[in-house]
Amino acid sequence: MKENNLVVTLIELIYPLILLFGFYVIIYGDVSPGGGFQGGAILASTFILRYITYKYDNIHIGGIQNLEKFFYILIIFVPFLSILNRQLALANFLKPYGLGRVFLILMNILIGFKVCLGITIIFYEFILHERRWSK
Amino acid sequence: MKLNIFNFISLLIILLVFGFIIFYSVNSNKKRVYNLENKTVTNYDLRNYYFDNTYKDTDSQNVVTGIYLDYRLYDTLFESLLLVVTVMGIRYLNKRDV
Repeated sequence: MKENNLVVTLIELIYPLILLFGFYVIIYGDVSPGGGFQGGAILASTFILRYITYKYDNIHIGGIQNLEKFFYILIIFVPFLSILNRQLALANFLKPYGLGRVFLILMNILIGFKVCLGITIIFYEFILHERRWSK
Repeated sequence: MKLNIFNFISLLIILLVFGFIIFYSVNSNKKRVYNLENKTVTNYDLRNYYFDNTYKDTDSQNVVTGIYLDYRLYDTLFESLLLVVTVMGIRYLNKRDV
């Protein structure tokens, strides 16, 4: 299918707004409705739009998956830091210093990036599978 | 699966039984008496506990974030693991081209 100029122009216009909205939902997850999972899904929609506008499929899925696993290791590692200062696993390790919100924002960012990468991988795997199947 | 009359009736019975269990448990929760800080409080759900204490306990103004990033953080770890395993499975089946 040929690229439609109208679609490409409109998507380029709303592209930064979607990115901004995704980061807003992630970072303000502890104040307003939203959070890591929802914001990550919004960020992943930018990759889907990238495919819809330009039909790029030269994406390196293995590297993205390694990055996702790295983020998951960080998600496991950060909550266990509270053993060092609170003698309590899976808790907020910055709360004794009055910085509890920083921990929530950090965890929301990690979860958001991980969900974004995971949904991107699933989308591109389906696209590449259909392409391989049709040949 | 074909939907014959036997399946339909058994499905209806299961739905009724589970609906009764959920309805009964929700209604019986309201009549419970709690003993909090040496005060006897009636009609105090877990919901009210979260509304009253989430900001104090977790520094989060959003109760949902307070629950999934502090009270039930282990649940979040396994929920993230779910997506990782899903991605692995999709890539594996895609390579095998079943």
